[in-house]
Amino acid sequence: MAGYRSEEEQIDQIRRWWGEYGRSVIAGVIIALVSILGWQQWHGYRDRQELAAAAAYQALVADLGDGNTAAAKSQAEQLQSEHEGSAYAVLAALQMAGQYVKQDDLQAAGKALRWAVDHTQLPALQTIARLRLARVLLGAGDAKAALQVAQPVPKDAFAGQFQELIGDIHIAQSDQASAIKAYQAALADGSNSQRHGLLQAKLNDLGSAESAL
Amino acid sequence: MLQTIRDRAQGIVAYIIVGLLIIPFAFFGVYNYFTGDSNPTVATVNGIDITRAELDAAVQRQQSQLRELLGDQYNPALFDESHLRPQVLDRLVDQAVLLYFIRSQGFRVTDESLRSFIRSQPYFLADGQFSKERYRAVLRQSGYSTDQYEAQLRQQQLLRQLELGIVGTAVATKHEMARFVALERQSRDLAWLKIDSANFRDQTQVDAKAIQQYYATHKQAFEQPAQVKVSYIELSENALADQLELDDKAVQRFYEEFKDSRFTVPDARRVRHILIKLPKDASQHQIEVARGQIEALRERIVQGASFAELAQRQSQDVGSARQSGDLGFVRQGEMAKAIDEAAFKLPIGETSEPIRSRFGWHLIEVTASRAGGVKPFSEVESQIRQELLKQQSGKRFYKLSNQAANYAYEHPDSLEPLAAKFGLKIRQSNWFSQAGAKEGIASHPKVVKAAFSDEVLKQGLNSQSIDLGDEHQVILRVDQHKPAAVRPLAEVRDRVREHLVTVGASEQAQKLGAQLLEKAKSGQSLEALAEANQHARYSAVGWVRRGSNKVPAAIVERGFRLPHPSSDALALAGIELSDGGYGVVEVRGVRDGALDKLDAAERTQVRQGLQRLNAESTLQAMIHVLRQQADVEFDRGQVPSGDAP
Repeated sequence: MAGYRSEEEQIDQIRRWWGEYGRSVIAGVIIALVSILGWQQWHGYRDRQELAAAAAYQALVADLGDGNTAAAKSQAEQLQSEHEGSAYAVLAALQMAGQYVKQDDLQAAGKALRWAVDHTQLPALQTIARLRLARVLLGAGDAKAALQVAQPVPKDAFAGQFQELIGDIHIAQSDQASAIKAYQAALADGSNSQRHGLLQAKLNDLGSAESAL
Repeated sequence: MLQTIRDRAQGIVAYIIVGLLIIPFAFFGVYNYFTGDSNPTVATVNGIDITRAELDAAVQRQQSQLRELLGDQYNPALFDESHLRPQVLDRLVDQAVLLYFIRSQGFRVTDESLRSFIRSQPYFLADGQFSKERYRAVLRQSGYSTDQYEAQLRQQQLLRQLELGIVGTAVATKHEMARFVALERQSRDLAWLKIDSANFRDQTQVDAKAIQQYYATHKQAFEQPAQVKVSYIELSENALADQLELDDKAVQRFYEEFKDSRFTVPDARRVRHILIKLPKDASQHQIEVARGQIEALRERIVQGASFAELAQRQSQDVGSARQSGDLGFVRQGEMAKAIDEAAFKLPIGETSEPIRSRFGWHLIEVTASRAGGVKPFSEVESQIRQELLKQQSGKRFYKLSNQAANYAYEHPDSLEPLAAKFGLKIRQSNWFSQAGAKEGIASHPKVVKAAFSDEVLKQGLNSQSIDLGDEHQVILRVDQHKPAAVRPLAEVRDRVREHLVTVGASEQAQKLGAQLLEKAKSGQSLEALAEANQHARYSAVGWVRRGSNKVPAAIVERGFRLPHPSSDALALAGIELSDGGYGVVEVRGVRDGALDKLDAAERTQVRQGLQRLNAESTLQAMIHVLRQQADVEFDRGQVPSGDAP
C-alpha cells in the first residue's frame, strides 16, 4: 500500500496531474459555460422572435379589423420576410387570403395561399392551406390547376373535404362520371358530418343516389 | 334538404356540436395546474391532466347554458349528468388537444396584448379608469390569484388565435356560392302518373286458403297478451268516513271546548286612511311641515270633501290609495298602536285627528263596524262534524289498514275472510293486460304490477296492501287468468282478408306502374299513357322548389333525385307510394337558382353560411387529425362518448 507518502509527494503528484490535464479542464469549463450561455441566448432570441412575430400578427389582425387592407398587406409582407419560419407568417397569409376572397380578388388570394402552402412546416396547416388554394383556383376558373393542387388527397380526416372539392372541379370540367365517384368517396369518408346534407344534394342533382337517407 | 343544413347550423344540433367546443373557449379553467393532488384526474392528454373538478364545472356550465338556451323546452331528463358528462369530457379533450397543438407550434400571447385586454374589461374599472386595486379585489372575490387569471386568459387567447386565424379564415368563393344557390334554389318541372291501388281492390280475389295460409305464417301478429280479472278490496278514508256515526254529545263537547278560542270572532272595523310620509330620521321641521299638510287635508274633509277621493289623490300610501285609502276590516292589534286605538274609538263616518306613526302622519275614517262574539252552535256544527269525521276516519283508516294487511297475509288464499271480518266489500275488475286500463282499478300502474307479480299471478296469493296515495289502499287477488295466446282465426278472419286485399291491390298497382314506367322510358308521354289506361291518373305539378308541399312530398323528393333531362335522355323514375299505390315521376326541366337574383342581404347570408360550414369542417377535421396523433388516456370509469370525432 502506497497510502502514506509525504505531503510533498502528494503535492508533487497533483502538480503533475494539473500539468498534464489542466488545459483540458479549463477548456472544458469554458466550453460548458459558453454553451450554456449560448443556449440561453439562443432561447431568449427565439423567444423574442416569436413574441415579435405574435405582435406583428396582432397588428395585422387589427388593421384588417379596421378595414385597412393596405397596411395589413405591408404588415404581412414584413412578417413573411422577417419571420419566414414562424407559424404567424402562415397565419398572416391565411388572413390576407380570407380578406382577398371577400374582396373577390382571387388572384391575390391564390398568391397568398400559395405562399402558405410553400412555407409552412406544419402538416395540418399545409393541408388546410392547400384545400383553400384549390378552392380559390377553382373559383378563379382554373379547374386544371385546382385539380393539381387538390391531389394527392390526404389520408386523414381532411380526405372528405378534398374529395368533395375534387367532385366540384369535375363538375366544372363537365365530367359528371368522375364527379359522382369523388362525391361518393367523400360521402363514404364520413368524417365531416355537417357537410352531409350539401354532399347528398350535389349527388342527388346528378341523379346518382338511388336512395336518399 | 339544403335548407335543413342551414337551419341546423343555427340550431341546437350545431350548438351542441360546435358550441360545446367554443363555450369552454370562453371560460376554461386552468385550475389543475395550480390546485393540489387531491383532485383526481379523469383523463390525460399529452401528459396534461383534466381533473374531475374541471369536468364537473364544465358539465354544470353546459347545463345552465342549455337551460338558458332552451327556456321552457329544457328537459332536465334529456340533459342529465350521465348523458352530458361523456360529451363534455370529449369536448374538453378536443380542447386540450388543440391547446397542445398551438402551444407546440410557437403560438404566443404577448404581455402587451394581455395587458390591454385586462385593462379593457369593464369589471376592473373604477371611475372609468382601470384600477389595480379593483382588479385584485375582483379576482380575490372570485377565488383567483392574478397569476391564475392571467394564465387562464393566455390560454383563452391562444384558442382565440386558432379560432380566428385558422378556422375563421375559411373562405367561400363566388363559384361556391353560385353552386350552392343553384342547388338550393333549384326548381324542377315535374309531372307524374298516379296508379291508385284502390282501383284494384275489387279485382283482388282472396280465398279461404290464402287467409288460412297467411294466418298460419304470421301467428305472432295475432298474439294477444296475457289478461287477468281481479277481485279487490278497497280501503279508503273517505269510504270509512261515510260509514261512521258521530256521537252528538262529542260534537257538542268539541264546540264547548273550542268556543272561546276557535269559535269566537273579535270585533272588527273597516278603516280607510290617508298618509303623508315621513322619513325615519325626519327633522322637527319636516314633521311640522307634514303635519301642516295633513291638517289642511282634514280641514277640507271637515268642510265636506270626500275622504275617499282625497285618499285616492293625496295619500302617499300607494297601495291603499288605489282603493281610495281602504284597508279592509281590521281587528284590534293588527295596525300600528296609535291608529289601532283611534280606529276602535272613532264613531263611524267621522274623521280622526292627525295621528303620528312611524310611517308619518295619518288621517283615518271608520267606514263600517262588525261586532264580534261567539258563533252559535248551529252555524259551526257541520264544520265540527266534518272535522271530527276526518279525525276519526283517519285514525280508523290507519288502524284498519294495518290490521287488514296482516289479516290478508295470514289468510292468503281468499279475500272472503278479510271482507267478513272487517265488513268490507269485494269488487271485481274487468279484464286487463299488463298495459293496464284507462279507467277503474287497473288504471293504477301499481295495481297492474301487483296483479302480474309472481306471488299473485303464479302462486295465487292475496297481494300485499297496495298504497295508492291519499289514504287509499287496495288488496287484490287474481280471479281469472287468460295466458298470452294467438287469437283464433275466426276472430281475425276479416282483418286478414282486408290485409290481403290491400296487399294484392298494391301489388297489381305496382305491376301496372312498372309497365307504364317502361313504356314512358321508351318514349310514350305520361299524358298518352293515362289516356290509354283507366287506372292511371296524370297530373302536371309544374315548377316546384325542393321541399315544396304542393304535391305528395315523396314525389317532389324523388323528382329531385333524378338526373337532369337532356335531348337524348328522359328523366323518369318509379316510386312506391306509402298508400300502396305507385307513381311514375318525370322531370321535364331544371332551372338552377341564380346567385345574381339574390339581394345583398341574402348573398351575405349565403356567403356566411358557407364560410361557417367550411370553418366548422376545418375545425372538425383538425381535431380528428390531432386526436389521432395525441396521447389520450381516459381514467377508468370515464366513458368517452361514442361520437368522438
